[in-house]
Amino acid sequence: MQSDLIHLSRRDALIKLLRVAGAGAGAAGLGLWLSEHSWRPEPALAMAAKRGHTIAADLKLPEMAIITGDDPAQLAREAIEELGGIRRFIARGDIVLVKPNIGWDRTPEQAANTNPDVVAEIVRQCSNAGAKRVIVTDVSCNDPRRCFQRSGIAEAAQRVGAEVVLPDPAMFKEVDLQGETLRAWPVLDLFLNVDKVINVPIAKHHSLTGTTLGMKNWYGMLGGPRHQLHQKIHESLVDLADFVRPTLTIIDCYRILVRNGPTGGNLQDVLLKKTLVAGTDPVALDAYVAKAYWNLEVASLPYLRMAANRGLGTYEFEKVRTQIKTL
Amino acid sequence: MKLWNRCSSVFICSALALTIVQAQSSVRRATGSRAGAADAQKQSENLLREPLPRHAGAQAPPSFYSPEGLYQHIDGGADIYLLYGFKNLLHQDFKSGAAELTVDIYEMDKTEDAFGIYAAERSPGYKFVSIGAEGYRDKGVLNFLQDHYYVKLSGSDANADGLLDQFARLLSGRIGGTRTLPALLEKLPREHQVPHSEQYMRKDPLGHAFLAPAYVVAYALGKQESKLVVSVANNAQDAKSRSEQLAKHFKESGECTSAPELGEGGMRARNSYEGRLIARTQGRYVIALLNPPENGAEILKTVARSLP
Repeated sequence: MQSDLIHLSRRDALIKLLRVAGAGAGAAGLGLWLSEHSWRPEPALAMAAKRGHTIAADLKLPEMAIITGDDPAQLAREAIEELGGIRRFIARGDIVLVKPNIGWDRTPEQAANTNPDVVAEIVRQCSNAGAKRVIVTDVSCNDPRRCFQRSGIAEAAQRVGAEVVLPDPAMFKEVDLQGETLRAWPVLDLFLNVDKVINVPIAKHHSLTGTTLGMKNWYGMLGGPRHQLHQKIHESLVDLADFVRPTLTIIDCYRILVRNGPTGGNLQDVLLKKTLVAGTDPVALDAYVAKAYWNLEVASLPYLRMAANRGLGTYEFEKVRTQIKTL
Repeated sequence: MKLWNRCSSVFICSALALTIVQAQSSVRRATGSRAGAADAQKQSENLLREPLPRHAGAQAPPSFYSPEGLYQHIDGGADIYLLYGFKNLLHQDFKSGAAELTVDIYEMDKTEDAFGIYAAERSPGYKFVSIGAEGYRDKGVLNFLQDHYYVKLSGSDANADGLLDQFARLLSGRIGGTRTLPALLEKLPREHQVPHSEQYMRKDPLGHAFLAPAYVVAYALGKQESKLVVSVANNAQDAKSRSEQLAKHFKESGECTSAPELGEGGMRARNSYEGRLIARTQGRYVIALLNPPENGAEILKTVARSLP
């Protein structure tokens, strides 16, 4: 070995170096090619995941209903009625997932979670329409047991026959979300094989986007590292909205959190608006609520324009058929 | 050829040595940061050691959140905490009789950062209590600032409010350290100052990134409200540069004239959407008064005199 080194010519050294580099490049290239062309089994649920839960448009009916009044349950009932009634959205035998915001260990008065009476009324309506199962769930940020209990949603929904499901780690499945930003991500499996999805977020202040409304509520179906979602928040919101495409969205503006969202806590940060905004165009709904309660224009919420470009709805809420009613 | 072989050997040895040194240093860094985090956690955990008020018992071991993990606990609320140099959060639930209590102790990098995040979340209309440097409470909530900690307590049940108060006083005693707001705020004129309106903004004071960081305080004279901004630059040169950027902004969006009577780098400016502004520099500070009252020039001079 020693003599080999001593008698190594400059030419030989270069040839050896090129051989090593060539072998390295070859191995890297082969690795890249294999990673793109090799067959890997897709998770079964990822293949079967249902994308989109929308219903056919009806030009005779409003796309958005804005209902104001004292009783949250009555507001939910009226909002659905104005949009054509629950049977327009839910068929006999459907499995329905109702997705409120149950992210926080807060009481209804603190307005960090969706109003429990609104959730209960939606469950009741779905059951009346003949839904086979109505599931109520959310991936909480705080301790789920405390969030479901303290928000009042578990009790209110169970009372009217909903299956209230507290997620546990075994219930997440890796899914290819096929988004522009989000690809493989752990999703709560309940979201993957239901017939209809009703999104019931609460309108709140949010330190990064200004406000958190309907599309942001889809973060509550994901596991995995949340900080990565926030690095490209607008893009990830649109990817999720594109993946779910809900049957119906009902934004709870009965109480709104105007400061220190999304967690809140101080009652002085809460305003009583006694309004629900419901509809089939999730982009228009978010655009309307952002403007009505936070005076935020489309330019301040880039995800609205991105969602519209993806064909998820229109941010020009003034152009959608709207029914406004005070009870 | 001998030279070639020698060079090759030297190169290979140097590369190997560099790799070993880098590996060792990154191991040291990782170990050091893990040790630092463990120390910080132990320190926070010690704040909640026994005995606790009303024999409150922990319902589970404490949870700790690092800057990367904070989103798991407060989702998008994490952004603003990270902006203010968040280091570590201790979260723990307690129970005493029927009352349940949640303790969140946020450890920030510096005392002004702790003040910054605390002030960003409070509103002048809150009910303030004298705990720590400052605190406020509402039904089921008590938050306070002390040293480089921001403590947030929340509870449920009719008896929870008393328990919150006892926990807050116990924690305040155990935290120790500084029980005052940032020293610079003490130097600002008190007359007509809107109580509890002080802010420490790490991002876009008055909407201008180049003014950050800055203290912002509201003054009210009758119905007129003014905002005093003290931008903290790195040095006098940096302050001059910030002042020039402010002047440039107003020249482009409205008007701005030099006003030597206001002092060092004095200016008077206005535009249609921000309104009127007077400003000057003092050492490494830029002092600006938006929508100034009649005695605005006097306020600027008073502030300038009090700053080093």
